[in-house]
Formats: sequence, structure tokens, C-alpha cells
Amino acid sequence: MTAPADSVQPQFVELGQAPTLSRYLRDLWSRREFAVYVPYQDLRFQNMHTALGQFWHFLNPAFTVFVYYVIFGLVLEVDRGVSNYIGFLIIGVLLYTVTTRIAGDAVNTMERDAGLIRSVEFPRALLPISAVNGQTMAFVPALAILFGSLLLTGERPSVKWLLTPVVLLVHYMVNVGFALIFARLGFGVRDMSQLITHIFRLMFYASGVLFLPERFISNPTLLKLFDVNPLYGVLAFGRWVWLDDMAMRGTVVFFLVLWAVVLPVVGIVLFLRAEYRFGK
Amino acid sequence: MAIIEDLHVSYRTYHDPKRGIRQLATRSKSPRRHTTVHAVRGVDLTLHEGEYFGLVGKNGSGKSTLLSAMTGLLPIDSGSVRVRSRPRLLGIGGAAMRPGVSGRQNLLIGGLAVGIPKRQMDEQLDELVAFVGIGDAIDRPISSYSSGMRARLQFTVATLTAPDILLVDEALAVGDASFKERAQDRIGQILGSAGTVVMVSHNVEDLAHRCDRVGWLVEGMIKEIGDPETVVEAYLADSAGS
Repeated sequence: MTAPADSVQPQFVELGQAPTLSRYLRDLWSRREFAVYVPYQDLRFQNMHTALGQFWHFLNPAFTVFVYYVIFGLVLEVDRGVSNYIGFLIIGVLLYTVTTRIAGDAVNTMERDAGLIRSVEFPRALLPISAVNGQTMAFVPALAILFGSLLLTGERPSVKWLLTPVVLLVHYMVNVGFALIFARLGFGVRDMSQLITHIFRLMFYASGVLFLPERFISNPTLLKLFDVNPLYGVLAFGRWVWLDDMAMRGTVVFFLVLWAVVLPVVGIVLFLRAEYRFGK
Repeated sequence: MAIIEDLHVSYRTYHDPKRGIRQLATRSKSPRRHTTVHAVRGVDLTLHEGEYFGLVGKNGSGKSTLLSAMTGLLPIDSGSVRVRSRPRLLGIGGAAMRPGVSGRQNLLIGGLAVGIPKRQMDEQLDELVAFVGIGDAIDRPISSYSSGMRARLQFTVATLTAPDILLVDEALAVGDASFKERAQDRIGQILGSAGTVVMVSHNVEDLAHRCDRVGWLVEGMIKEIGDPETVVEAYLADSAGS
């Protein structure tokens, strides 16, 4: 192909045209310090006015774990066909909570930071990505609680635990995808901020946070739906890595890896195409 | 620089007339309907590198709409705006960046958002704080700022990196004299580094002696364009006449 005729002024662009993907990604990368510093400051700011301050980042997951332990471990005494059901449950709840928080954050982020959007020029996808980074940072104390709980429920460190960064990376990628998609939808459709609670309550059950789908669902079509659900994939992967005797099916791995790549790409493209609409 | 060709911009707004007793009694449907405002009607304009361009016109003549369209915030009906990078708009009473956090923190966030490395921002921060020049208030949340203080902060953030095109819509009107002078110095630097500045102001005498060129907008069309003194004189004569 030959260069277009107006290549004399290569930098000249028609206003309102979406930037190219490579340019967009480069612009995002050059703002990486924003995506780390700003959510970190926001996290610190969050609990500044509470008596216990930064301890809440530890206390929140600890209380969550405690409540689930009391209800399912002491009161109901269920195992639902899993040898370490408490460990199973804690992994599910903690990982799932991160994604719920991110989606809840993301759906409002374009609205909340409209001031920033109108004041300075930056690729708008920076905002949902920062929201993901913030919740990922907040997950670090939760991860400590998670490992503590696993040891207390009788798990012993195994070689598989070395895969922990991979679990976190895949989860992060899926979260980035969700955040971008929900931020875009939330900007166009304000009702999303109401709908999202219900979407994620449904997803809570559809991701097997509380139970192993194989044990309770016999309909094979329904089971396939679990396999293609990226959140179920993240949970299944985490449980396989951290628990001693969990199996992981090949189809689940396949779809998980697929989503971890596809969701962020879809999200970025959605943002690219709406780039000039934000901030109106 | 920017090339604007045959630009038309309109926006829809609600027209909400007062409902009389009869409409209420007959429970007729609300008479509310859309009105389309055709605010910019065929503007051709080429802005050059290093040019200080002034825009004058009565209220409602389409100045702000033209600037908004140039940033891509308003969709264009027809025509085109071609630019190297998206122009930066500085409006009056513009959005507070992050109202809950301090001015200092907002400077830093703004810098990081445009891609300035954190270390460089940390080094420059004292200098920038001095440029904003609002004393201790820099450490208070900007939700507590006066419009003048906010304008000073926003001007500083908007010019952290030299913009290719800076559009100023009355944003300096609320600043005091000393800040206006410093802002003009900064504008001078932008022009010096081949940037373009478009200034909308009702202080037309000021535009007449600072600008390189002035355009006069009447009902969304450029009535006159060229030598600042001549255009401003014609504009003032017209305003006095009507």
C-alpha cells in the first residue's frame, strides 16, 4: 500500500476521530505513575477519618472471613463435598469481593471524575484502570488474611502456591476488562449503577462462590455455563492452586485464559471509540 | 495550528414554557419540547503556529460553542476541525478537578494525568505552588476555593505542559491583576514554543492590544477578521449603535 496523499502533515488528525490502538496504549503507558499513585492516595484517604484508620484494610477482610466461618463452619457445619470447605469459601468470597468492588467503582468513575476529564487531557481508560489498581492494592492485606486462614484450616504450603502471581495476574486482567466495560456502560446508561448490584448478586451464584457446581448441578448445559464464566474460572483456578485436593478442568482453563485476553481488549476498544464523548 | 472548514454546530436544549392553568386543568401533555440552537453557522478559520487569536462577539454569538466544538466536546454537524492534538479549553467556573482534595494534590494529580513523571512533579511542585499564588489555601480542599482561586489553579494545571492549542474562555476574568499579568507571561511562553492561543474576552481593549488577529462573531458567523484594532473598533461601534 502507498502512503495517503496528505502524509505531508502526518500528525494532522480530524478532531473527534478515535486514536489508533497503539497510540492509545502508548498514551496510557506514559501515565502509569498516575494509575499507581492516585488510587494509592485514594485508599489512604478513604479511612482517614475513621478511628482505626488504615487498619481497616486488614480488618475488613478479617471480619468477612470471620462471619463466613461462624455461619458455615460453626452454625451450619456444612462441607458441601469439599474437604476444606472453609478454605474453599474464603478464597471464593475474597476474590469475588474484589471484582464486585471494582465493577461498583468503575460504573461511577467517569461521572465521579468528570472534573478531571474536563480539566486535563489523558486517555480516559486511565480512570477505570486506576480503579482496578486501587482495589488490587487493597487486596494485598486480604491476601495475607487469606493465607493465614488457609494455614489455620489445615492447608500446608505446596509447590502449587508458587502459581499465586499467575492467579493474581489472570484475575487482574479479567478485572481490567470488567472495569473498562462497566465504566463505558455506566457512562452511557446511568441506570447501570442500580443494575450492577443485581448483576453481581446473580454472578455470585453463577460463579460458585459458595458451592462446587459439579456437586449440585446435574444439567450438563447449565454446568457448561459455569465453565465459560470468567469469574468462576478465576475462583476455580485459585482453589486449585491454594487448596490441596481440588481438580480443575481443561475447558475452564481454556476459557479463563481466553477471557483474560479478550475482556481487556474489548474494554479498550469500547473506550477508544467513545473517547471524545466522555466529559460532556 | 488548526484548520477549521465550514463548521456548523448545533445543540438541542429543552424548551420549558410556563404551564398555564388551562393546561393543568385539561391535563394536557407537558408543552415541553426540544429546541435546536444552531450556534455556529459555517465558520472557516485557520489558526497559525505562535498566533494569539482573539474572539469577540455579543453574548450568544456562538463563541463558547465554537471553542467547545474545537475540543471535540460538542459533536459537529458538518464541516471539519483538523488539529495536531486536541486543544485544551479553559473555561470560567470550570469543573473542579477533584473537589475533595487539596490544591497541591490536584496539581500533582493533574501533572501525572498528562504524563509528567512523578519525580519531576515533586521537584517542580514548590515552584508551581508559588505560581498559583494563593498562599496557605493551596493545602485546603478546592471545594472551599473562591472562583478566582480556582481559576488560578486551573490555569496552572492547564499549562503544566505547553499545549499545542490553548482556548481561554473568559477564564482570566475572575483573576486579580497580578495573576492576569503572570498568566499573560505564561501565554507568551506558549506562543513562543509555537503554540496557538485563542482568547475569548469581553475586555476587548485588552484583546486589541495583545492579539495578533481578532475575529468578530455575529450569530455564529465570522463577520470580520483581521487587524485587532480595526476589528475591535468595528465591533465596538456596532455595539454602541444597537
